[in-house]
Amino acid sequence: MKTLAIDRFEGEYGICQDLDTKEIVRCKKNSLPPEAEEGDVLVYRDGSIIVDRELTQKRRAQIQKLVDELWE
Amino acid sequence: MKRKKKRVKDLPASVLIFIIVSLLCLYIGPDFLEKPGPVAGSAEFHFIDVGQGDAALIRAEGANILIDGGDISAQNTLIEYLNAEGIKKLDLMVGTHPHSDHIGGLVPVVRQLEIDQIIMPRADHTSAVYQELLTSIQEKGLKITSPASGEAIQIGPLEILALGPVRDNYGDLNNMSVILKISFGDISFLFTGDGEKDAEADILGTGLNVNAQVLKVGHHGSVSSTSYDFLEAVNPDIAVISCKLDNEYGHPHQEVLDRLKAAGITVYRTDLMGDIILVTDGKSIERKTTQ
Repeated sequence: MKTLAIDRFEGEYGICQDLDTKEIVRCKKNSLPPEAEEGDVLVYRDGSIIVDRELTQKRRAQIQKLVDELWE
Repeated sequence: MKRKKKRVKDLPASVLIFIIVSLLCLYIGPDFLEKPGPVAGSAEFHFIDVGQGDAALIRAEGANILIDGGDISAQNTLIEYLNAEGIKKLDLMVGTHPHSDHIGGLVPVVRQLEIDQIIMPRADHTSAVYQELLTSIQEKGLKITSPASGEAIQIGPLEILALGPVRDNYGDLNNMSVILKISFGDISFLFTGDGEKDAEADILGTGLNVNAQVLKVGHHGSVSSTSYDFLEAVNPDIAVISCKLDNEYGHPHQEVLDRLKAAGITVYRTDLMGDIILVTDGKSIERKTTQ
């Protein structure tokens, strides 16, 4: 099962990073949930791609901790 | 004994100097053969061809600055470029914003080079590459700063003026881009990251002097950026666009190219020209055509 983080949107594409393989994956915007935003974590569930709110929150908190430690 | 002494004494000075220099070369090793940086009184601005992404190296006497590192796929290209330039230490590394086409190539740079100072916008993002970059910075025991708009930083002979981001939060990462004006003598280069029209309008609102002879065109020449008002205020002679040939996003957009053309600005593009090196003596700019 793929877990993708949306890195950014460029024109018609959502550019995502596979969180396991680190591979950059380009997806057509219309294949992604319409509510999906930059930074959201996507998973395949029951045959469709959805935003995993819990996983998104968990990753944001993880990175926020690093940010708090690193910024002067 | 007497004869031997005489022989040593008779060795010509030039031979002695040759021996000393040879020994020094052996002692210093390959460093002696590395490409020297720019000569005193000049600065070099390298726009490195990293495909779809941004990476710029700025060199002056006692100053090496890297702004962005291209995407993950450009990691080798970038590190090889820096190695070929003989760079072991960066006085400043800037990650304009956390998108992979700007920070992807920075991870090996952090791991392999000595870095004095790191500037990035304080932003959270969930990508693996952003996490990896922050982790590599932490492992090296380094810290990150985000200068306020209007803050000045001096590195060697280079004067850096932080212009953006003006706000702490824009709701999107492009507008969070660190935007810097770097000046050497009378010549200024403006590095815009992927800053879009909102970021440009905010910078104009600060009243800071954005005028520059060279503009690194925002967001790879996308219509999201380079608004008419901003371009008019910057009023550059040269515009540099960093992108991949025939990229999937249509960068640079025709509208932006038309706007630059109408203003009579010379356009240099990494997708058409490869690495672009501009050299300045602080008064004029020349494009270096051979490495």
